[in-house]
Amino acid sequence: MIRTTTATIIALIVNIAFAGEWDLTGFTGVDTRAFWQDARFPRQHDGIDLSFILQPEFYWRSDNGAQRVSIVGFGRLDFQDDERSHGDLREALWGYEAGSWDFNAGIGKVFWGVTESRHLVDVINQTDFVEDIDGEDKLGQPMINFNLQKDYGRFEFYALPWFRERTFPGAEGRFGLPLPVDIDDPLYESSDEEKHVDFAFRYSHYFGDLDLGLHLFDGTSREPGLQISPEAGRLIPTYGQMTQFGVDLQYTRDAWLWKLEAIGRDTSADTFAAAVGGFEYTFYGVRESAIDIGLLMEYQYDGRDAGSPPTPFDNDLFVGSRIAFNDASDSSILAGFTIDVDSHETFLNLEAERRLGDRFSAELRLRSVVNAKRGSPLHAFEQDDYVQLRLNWYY
Amino acid sequence: MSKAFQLIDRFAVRLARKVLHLRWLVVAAAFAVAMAIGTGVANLEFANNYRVFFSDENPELTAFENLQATYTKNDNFLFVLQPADGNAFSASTIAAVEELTDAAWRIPYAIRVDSISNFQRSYGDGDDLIVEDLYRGGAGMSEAERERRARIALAEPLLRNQLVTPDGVATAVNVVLQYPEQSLTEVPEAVAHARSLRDSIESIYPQIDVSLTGVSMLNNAFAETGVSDLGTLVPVMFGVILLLTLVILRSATATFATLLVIVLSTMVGMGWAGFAGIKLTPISGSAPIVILTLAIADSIHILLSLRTAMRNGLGKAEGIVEAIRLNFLPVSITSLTTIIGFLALNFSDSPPFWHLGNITAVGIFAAWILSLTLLPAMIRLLPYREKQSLEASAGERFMGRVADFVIANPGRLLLSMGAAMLVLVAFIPSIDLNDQWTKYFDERIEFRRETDQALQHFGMYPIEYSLPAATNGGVSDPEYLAHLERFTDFLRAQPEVTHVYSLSDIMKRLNKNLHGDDPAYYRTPQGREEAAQYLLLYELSLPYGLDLNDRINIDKSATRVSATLGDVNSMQTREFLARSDAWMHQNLPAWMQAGPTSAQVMFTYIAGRNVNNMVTGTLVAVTLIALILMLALQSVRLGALSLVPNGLPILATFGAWSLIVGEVGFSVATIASISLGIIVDDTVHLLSKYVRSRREQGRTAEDAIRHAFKNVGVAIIVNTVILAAGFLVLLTSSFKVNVDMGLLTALAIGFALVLDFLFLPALLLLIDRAGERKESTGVIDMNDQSTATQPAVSISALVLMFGLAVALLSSPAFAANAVVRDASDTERLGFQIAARSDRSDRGFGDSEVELEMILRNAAGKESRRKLRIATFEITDEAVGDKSLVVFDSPNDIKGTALLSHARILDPDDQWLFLPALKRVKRISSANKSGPFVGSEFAFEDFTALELNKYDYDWLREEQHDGRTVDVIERTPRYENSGYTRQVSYIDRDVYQVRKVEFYDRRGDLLKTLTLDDYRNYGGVWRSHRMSMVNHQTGKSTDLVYGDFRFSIGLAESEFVKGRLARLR
Repeated sequence: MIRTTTATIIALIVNIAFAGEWDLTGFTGVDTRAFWQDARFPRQHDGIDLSFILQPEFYWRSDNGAQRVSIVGFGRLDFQDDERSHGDLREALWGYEAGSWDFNAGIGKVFWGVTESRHLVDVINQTDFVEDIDGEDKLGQPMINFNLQKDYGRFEFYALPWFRERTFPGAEGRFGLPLPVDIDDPLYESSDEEKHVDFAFRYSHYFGDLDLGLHLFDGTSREPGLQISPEAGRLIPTYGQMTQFGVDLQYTRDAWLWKLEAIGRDTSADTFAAAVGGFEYTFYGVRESAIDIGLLMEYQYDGRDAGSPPTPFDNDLFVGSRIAFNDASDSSILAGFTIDVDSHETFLNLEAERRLGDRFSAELRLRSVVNAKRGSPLHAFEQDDYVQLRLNWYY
Repeated sequence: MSKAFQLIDRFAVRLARKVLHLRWLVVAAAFAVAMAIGTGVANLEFANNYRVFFSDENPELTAFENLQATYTKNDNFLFVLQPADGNAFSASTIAAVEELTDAAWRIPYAIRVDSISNFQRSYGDGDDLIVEDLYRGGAGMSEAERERRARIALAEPLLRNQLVTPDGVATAVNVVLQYPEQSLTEVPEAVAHARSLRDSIESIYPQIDVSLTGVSMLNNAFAETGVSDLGTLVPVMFGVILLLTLVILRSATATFATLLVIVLSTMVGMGWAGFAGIKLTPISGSAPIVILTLAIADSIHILLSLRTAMRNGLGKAEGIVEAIRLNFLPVSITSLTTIIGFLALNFSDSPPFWHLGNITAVGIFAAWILSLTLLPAMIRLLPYREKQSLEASAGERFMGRVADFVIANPGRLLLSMGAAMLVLVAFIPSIDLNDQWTKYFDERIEFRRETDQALQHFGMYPIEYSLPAATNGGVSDPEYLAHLERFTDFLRAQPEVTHVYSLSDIMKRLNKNLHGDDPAYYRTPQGREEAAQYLLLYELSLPYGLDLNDRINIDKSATRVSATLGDVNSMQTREFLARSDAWMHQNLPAWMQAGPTSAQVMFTYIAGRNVNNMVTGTLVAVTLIALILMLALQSVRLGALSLVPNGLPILATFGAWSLIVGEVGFSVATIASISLGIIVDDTVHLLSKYVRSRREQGRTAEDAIRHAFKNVGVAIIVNTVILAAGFLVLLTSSFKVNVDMGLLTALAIGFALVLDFLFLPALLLLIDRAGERKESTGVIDMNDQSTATQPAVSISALVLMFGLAVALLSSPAFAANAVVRDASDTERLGFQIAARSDRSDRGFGDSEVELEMILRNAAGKESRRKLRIATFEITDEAVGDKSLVVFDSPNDIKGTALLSHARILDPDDQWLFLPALKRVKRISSANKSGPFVGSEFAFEDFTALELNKYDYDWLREEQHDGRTVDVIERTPRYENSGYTRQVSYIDRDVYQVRKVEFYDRRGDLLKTLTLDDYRNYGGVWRSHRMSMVNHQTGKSTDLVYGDFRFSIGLAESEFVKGRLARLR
């Protein structure tokens, strides 16, 4: 499958020399993370973690716009953690569009959902966990995708022929678990292992102020369980099979965005429902300025039991604020915390970014886990509070 | 006319309008919430322990738990073997018993196995006591030896009638189990093993018929019956309801919407049960049926009113509003009374009834909300037509005749109906409380069949006594043993008793064995030490698992006597218990007295206990319901009067039942409160219509009755049919408690219908006629006996109930927004010029343009952005265009896209695409005045280009850059604008806007937009340089356009959010 896709793409690239418009862009970045606490486990590095990022992007579109190819590469070179030095093909997708339908094949990225604090219904792409623990960075997913746009909604069908394993930090990397994760030999519930073909379907549309998405996913769960391998002193990721049905809703009215994502998931060990819902309210042009201040509040519920990989977000409240300065450099700040209603375990997050001139951008991040409780998934990250500064150069 | 009704009416109308306005949201929200709660269904499990039928406070349960803690658990399997040759002692049967006895040890959680083969036979050998299995390798024994041992078995009081029948035709193997009670899978696991054991014995020994019963099988049957009931009843119920609603409503849409309401209500009820951690039983398992049945009533009333309204010429939307207005109060009251009736089940002594009551109450609450929200929204969305017709329907004509009949004969009806009811009520005292718990299950259930078979040979209902001795070790006391023997003999003499298991028999046998098996010594030992030694000797010889711990407590200060009863019901059991209790009081010393206990004792008393508790519960429910009716009808008199048609049907039902069946089980107590809540509904509908037409229209009592019959008569009949059908479906349940409940409730509903139609109106007539004679004014103030505060109280109560809904729905957005203004000359002129200008640019179809945005700060420092704008023209001026803005630079936001579906006065629909995350986000368009991507252009400057978004006023004519221009003031009509007004300059040559001045919310000049470089594309003008200067900050933004491309064949379907990801 990969081979045929690659062959098609190569054929198309050759074609580009003759027709269509193309565009080569991307960015290079320097990324420093400073951990001000000693690592929790002696094998982990302390202090500053420096790394370089490269993301070349290539886009081509045929003259009539019916065909398009996008290739997005990604590489990170990290001086502290070998596993964090990694490369990925984020996208390598050929698409063909004709009227009300379009077809895509290759490696792609798809986002589903509406909420901010947790992405429950976003199941297509695997999380690139070494990139960032917030789960917003994703690995490219091999796919064959067919979409149908009708007046009454959009129907998306996916066949996902190859599974991507989640990335984990190496033994010396921060955000490690009590034992290093052995990513070389994961366990799969399906005998097809990573070759199991997953299927997904999504319907989405909007009805007045209401945006609705429904999806069905059947295949390998993107969330790994971790099994202790006592001989090796390592954790082995295990990937089960799951069937998931979910709904995402957003009701947009005046300055209110009301959001809900809910899923029901069935695995061989567990059947549960999870939901995250809340609102985002924005004060536009605060005090006659250009600044918008948004207030976000979301409640997270997860009904999973010990049969599923643990989540810290089982009964949590996220409260946050998004400040958009609406200036020429698109400055913005997102700050918030997620607090567990039962244990009061809290995850603090601050993200600020702005453009510097036309070609540079700077990002500041600060993350901290407070009050982590033994037995919670966040407990291992208790000493991994950090501040990150990143500078990107776009070309 | 009552103020309270007006308030409620206004609220109902407002609610209905809001629901219709927000129909998509209502439907989505209803689904989302119902589904979310419905996920709790995943947590539901059936309990498999009969103990769930008893509350923790139940004294019989407490006594029994104590007994089981002292001795052993009585969870058991009983295998009954019936050989075809009628000889339980044949070689093959003995082989089967031995094999079963050994294999039974491997049943999970088994702690003891008793059979004739491992019975610990004892005999004396000089001074030694020999204890051994009665049969070991019995198949290999000689015929004579087997027969010799058969005689021992048949003579042994511990075995006879317990593990072997006196005639030797059947034998039994008893397996005692001790469950850890950690998980609901324990019982099914043991049962599965026991069943496979039964099957394998039957296949190896085909001539032996094996029945499997016992407490564990009973427990398992509760779960299995519940599951199978749900599987059969729900589809039947669904079919019945589907059929009835289709026939009655004669509309696929109405049927569909109704089914949706009831299915979602049921989901909510059951989902709630799941979240509340309720373990289902066959009783609470009938909750979905009950909810399905009751939930439908609200919908039917509303839909029938809608039909009437539409026949009378109202449109669909107004019809819906009218139907909600008419039904809001009655539907709310009936829901509330039904909820109260079901909640009263919490007074019962049996938790399954609490669960049934609570689950149903939640389901009905959901039905109430859904039928006032989801139902109208669905009807509004789906096609629904009704021919206008002034002719009364056949049903209405029939109801008219019934009304006339009642009005003509009120006295006769009152007398005859009253007399009939009194006769029925007179039979109530002859009703007997009686049931038999193995017969709770009908013959479809395996447990019932096998137990019936077993009952032919052995008793099934043990009664346990733990008889205390005077001191520690006192069980060896000769006096104690003598008393024990007499009690054992007494029990054995009772006709109900098939077997008695008592220590006295063991002691007698041991005494004989140790006196050289001399039959003369077959009596209790005479000395205390002697007896204690015998016991010690015997216990030492017993193998593992067959010790005396299940007979004697640990400090030997009490023993357990088990009397097994044959095929008895709870009435016979009560008689037996009374007799043995009396004997005990007369013949045993005070220190040896003990009460009976066991599952049978518990089931025997549960019915009576339930009745006692439910009397309180029903009284509370009756009082509450009467109070609610008084408030709702705003009349103490009518509220009190309603008790007659509400209470009589229940009493009549018990009377009729007493005549037909004669006895009731423990479900009976709950019927009163269940049916009370339901039958009140009809009364409420009838009375509320009656009161309304009297108060609002000032009708006479006769006219008001005709009006009430015409309006709700059909709905009441329809409801009764559906409710009766629903409860009759319970008759097909394989659980007798449900069958009784179904039949009794259906009966009560039927009686209620008759009384509501023939008795209540007659009563009203007589009472109100008397009132009319007293007051000659014609219109009677029915408030005469109620205090002035009552309307306020009832309103606040109802409004409180809807508090949440109100908060959500009463936003000011609903206020009418189309303001019709007087058009003065300058306003018309302003509009005409603006329209000319706008229309000269229209008709382009679709367009695409690339532009550069140059942002300058006050110091003149520039930053640039490149973007593409594609527009799809919607020619209808009442709807806005669709547009797509895609950013090409700076590179970090490359591919970011904004899709807008502009509207005129409503907020636009806008979606933003963030390429780094591939995320499409619907954004609020309330942000009209905010800067667009940091520029001096606000969102509204880009999107609010539609003619009808403004009101216009022509100010003056002046010279501007060498052109004559009209100066026109425009005022935004849409919400959230950052401007109080804009002044635009439109030239007289080509009618293009040359300049716009924007005034901020304080009325100060904020920005000036200059439009230059107009080019003509075949009649369509476009400016190619727009410059916005902010006077307050000194910043500015220029837009420099490339060439416009028009009519390039863009399709409307390309302006959808799904395509945003493909734009780069």
